[in-house]
This record gives sequence, structure tokens and C-alpha cells, in this order.
Amino acid sequence: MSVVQQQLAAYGASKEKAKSPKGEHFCPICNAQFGEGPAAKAAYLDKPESHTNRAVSHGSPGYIVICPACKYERFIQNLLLGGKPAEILVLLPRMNIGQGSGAELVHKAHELWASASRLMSNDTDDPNVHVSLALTQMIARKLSEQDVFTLSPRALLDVFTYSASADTRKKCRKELADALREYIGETVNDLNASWGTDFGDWDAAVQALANGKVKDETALAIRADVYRLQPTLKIVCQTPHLILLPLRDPMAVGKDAEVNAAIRRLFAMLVLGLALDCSVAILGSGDAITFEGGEGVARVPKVPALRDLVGSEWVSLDTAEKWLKAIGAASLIAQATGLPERSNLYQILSAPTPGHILRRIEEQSDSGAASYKHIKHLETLKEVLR
Amino acid sequence: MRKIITVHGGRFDLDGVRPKIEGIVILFDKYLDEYPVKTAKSKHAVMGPVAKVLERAQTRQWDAQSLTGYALRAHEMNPKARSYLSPAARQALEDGTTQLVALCREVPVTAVAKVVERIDYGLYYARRKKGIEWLENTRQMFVRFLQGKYGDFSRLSATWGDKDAKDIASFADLRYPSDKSEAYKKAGAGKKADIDEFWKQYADQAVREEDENV
Repeated sequence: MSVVQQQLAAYGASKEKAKSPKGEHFCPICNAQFGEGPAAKAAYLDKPESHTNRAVSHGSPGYIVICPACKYERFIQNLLLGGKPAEILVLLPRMNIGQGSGAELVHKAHELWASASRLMSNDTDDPNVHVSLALTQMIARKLSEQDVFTLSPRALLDVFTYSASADTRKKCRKELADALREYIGETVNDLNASWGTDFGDWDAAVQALANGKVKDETALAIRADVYRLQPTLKIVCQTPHLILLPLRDPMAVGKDAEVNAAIRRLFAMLVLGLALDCSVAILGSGDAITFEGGEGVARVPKVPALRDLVGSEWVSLDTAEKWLKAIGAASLIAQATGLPERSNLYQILSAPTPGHILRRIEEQSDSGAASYKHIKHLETLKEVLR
Repeated sequence: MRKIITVHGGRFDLDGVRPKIEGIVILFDKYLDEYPVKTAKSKHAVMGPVAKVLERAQTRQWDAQSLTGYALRAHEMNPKARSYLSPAARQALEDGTTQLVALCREVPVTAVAKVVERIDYGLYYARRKKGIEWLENTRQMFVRFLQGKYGDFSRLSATWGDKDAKDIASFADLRYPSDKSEAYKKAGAGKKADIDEFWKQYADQAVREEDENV
């Protein structure tokens, strides 16, 4: 039997067996043909029990079956990040690069990862500082004082780091104190006895633990749990030709609409692409790497409204800075426009003229006027408005 | 046998008329440079007679000459204009109106509102931008004036007092020196004296905020 006949037979039989471990299957992720296999689990695959056209429409409920290669790929991703990655960024050199440039890219990636991993672990001095690629407004504000093309790995990480608000700090501090009372003891003497320290009062002991000055393993585990000190991203870099950056959380804020979240993704990719001088794309579940890096700086996420706005699949090198600044400017005036948070970035970037946005700002302002700062942002935005 | 009626639903390409839209905005902007209202807060005041021209042009029932005459009369009726308009500004108004009327007749009726809206907000942005830049230049003059007078910021905050120097950390944080605002009316003697002195010295260079009743 030829391969084609085998596949046709498997395709015919697979629909009924898509949610059953037995029988012939087609992997819903990579389309590979395979035989029997165990049902997928939510621990490594998103919503394995949800409806899929790969299965019979009104068939019996169950969990989808994926091929062993896809299953083990997800296991590795989970092992890398200590959890299920929400998305994976892929970084490639934009052109063929020599040994020196390649070594420099690898060095930058390793330096970035060394600083980031310290910040996201119990080694950090300040557990209130976190890393996020989704806070577009904060990143844009920090970038407005720097040149993205000359950022060092340390400066690049600073652009993506934020400090928790006073309320959150207070809340975490209280949680830490409560957890210590529950697991170690009610008084400072209990803490001193457990940690082998000589703190004079309870607050000083809690503060020392928050600052990472206490080396007791139980206490550090409590600290990591309270301040969520775990990697939110990982940088996997063995070769300059392919750098993987799995992210634990999706790049979205609050109740972002799909297109708003896609704009945030594009912005983060442009920052990384221009700062590290490479091409960046987001790899969805089951996506194959079909690009070589020369297509542009960042691949526009697969959201039709955003692809239509940008006008192409890739943001090219000559337009990358323009889009970076425009998205940054949109995020900096988003609050002043009073547009709904879930779609404000898209609404600003798709406005017919800067006059529409200006009028909106004036209507929302108490004084009824926009400021000179707003005009400067609108001038930046004007470059991409159509 | 009945004839078959076919409809071709072609989509209007706004990009095709973009250069014409930009040309009209430039002409009206040139005219408004001589219109006496420049920094008022309302859109109505900033756009002057052009707002009425845009509104009437989209009905496609006015010819260019009548509409220019209507706009000129509206200009003359503004007391601040003193019934005068330079030949260059009048020509810009006439050319802008002629091109606008022609464009409104050229584009499909379903696209007229969209095209006029682009001209409206494009022009509004150009006018407002100029106004805000003029006010910003005046603010910078005020900053330089106070830097020259006090040299050190601590001397300025000592003269103005805690109430008026609140939220101002350096000369760069100083606001536009309005002598009509509530903040001016409530300000202390030191700040008021500085603002008054500034307007005396820079009356011919600085740009004042305008009232709405113009």
C-alpha cells in the first residue's frame, strides 16, 4: 500500500478515533499519521477536551490524542519553564551571520538570561521587581529616553522590568508575615530558633527575609511562593541561528481584546528584534518554523485586523522603528483618550486622522485641552495612520 | 424578456483622493493663519468659517463662488477680524473652497461624508497643533524669563511661596503664564507680579490664550 493510500485510509478512520486512544490517528497539531496513543492532558496541552473538527461533531466526549513527538515536545517545554508555556518567541539572525556576530548574539542572549533568571528567582534582592513583556506603556516610557539600537542586555532587561505598586508590596509583605506565622512560629524567637539568627523584632526578621538576607530553605520557599519568584520566561540559546524564548504567561493585560494583545506582542517583538539585531516571530501551537529570518524584524501576529493595519506579514527593517515608535506613542496616550482598555491601542492606531484622537483627548480632559506632550505623540502616530 | 440588471459593487479607494484632501487642508490652513482666533478651546472657534463651508459643501448643492462669499461674510462678521482679509488669505480660501466643491462632486455620494470628515479633522489637527506650539513657545519664553530673573530655582520657590511652587520641581515644570485662569486669580503676590511683568515685557512676542466668545 502506498503512503498516499495509507494516509487516506488513516484519514478516513481517524475522525471517529480522534478522542479515543485506540485506532489510527492524525495528530491535530502536526498532522503526522500515527497509531494508538494516550489521551492528551491539560497539564501540557491547552483545553484537550474542547470541540475540534478533527473529531465527530456529536460524538462521545473525551480528550484529544496527539502524536508522541508533539507530546514529548510539550514535556520538554514544561521542563524548561517549570510550567506550560503560553507562547514561544523565536529569534533568528536576519541574514547569514559570521562567527563573530553569532558569538555576540549568543553572548547577549546569555547575559540577558543571566540577569533575568536572577531577577525571577530567590536570588533577587528585591522581590517586588518583576519581568513582563506585555506592559507596553511602561516599556514605551522607558524606551523614550533611550536608543533601542544601542541597548545593552542589562538595559534591555531594565526596559522589561517593573516594580510592584505600593499596595501590592504591602499585600505581599502581609502575606509573607502570615505565612511565616503559620509555618514557623508566632514570635521572633521562633524565627531566630528556626533560622539560627538573632533578629531583635518580628518586622526586622520579615524585612530581612523579603530582602533575601535569610538563607533558611523553608523561609526562602515561602518567600518564593508569596512573591511568585519563578521564571516567567526562559532563554534557550545553544546557537545564534535559533534562540527560543518560551513565556509562561500570554502577552496581554487585563481583558485585552485579541487585536490589542497582538499589538503588545508585536511591540515586544520589535524591541527584541531591534535591540538584538535579529528577526522575531511568535510560534503558536503546532506552527512549523517556515521563515528564515531575512523576511523582516518581526512577524505580525496572525490577527487579521492587525495584519491589515500593518499591511504585510512581516515588519521590515526600514519600517520597524516607525511601528515601534507609533505603538509606543499609542500606549502613552491611551489613558488620555479614555478609550476602552480592551481595544484602545487598536482604536488609536486605526484612527483615520490624528485630529480624531486629538479631539477625543480634549473631550476626555478636565481642562478641555490637550498638551504639547500629546501633540508630540500624535506627530509620531501620524506616520502610520491611514 | 426583461433586461438583466447587474450591479458592480466597487469599493471607493480613499487613498486615490488623499493628495487632494491634503491640498485642501493646506489651503484652508493658510487662510486660517490670518483668522483672528488661534488658540481658543472649542473646535467651533478654531475652525472659523471653514466648519460651515465643509458642512455646506457636502450637500453638493452649493457652487464654489456662493460658498466662498458665504465664508467671507462669516469672516467679516467676526469683530476681531475688523472686516479685513489679506488678498493671499482670501485667495487661499477661494481656492480651498473651489477644490472642496469639485472633490465633493467627484467622489461617490456614499463617500462624501468620509472625505469631508478627513478634511475636517485633518485641518483641525493642523490648527490645534499650531496653537499648542505657540502656547508652548510662550511657556518656554516664560521659563527663560524667570531663569534670567532668579537664576536658581530655590530663589523662585522662596518668592512664590509653598502654595504656588507646589508640584513644581524645576524651571522646566512651570506652566503657561495665564493671566485669566483661576490659578492666576488665586495666586500669591510674587507669582502674580512675575506673570504681569512677563506679559509687559513680552506682549509683542508671546501668544495669549483666547476667550471662547470670539
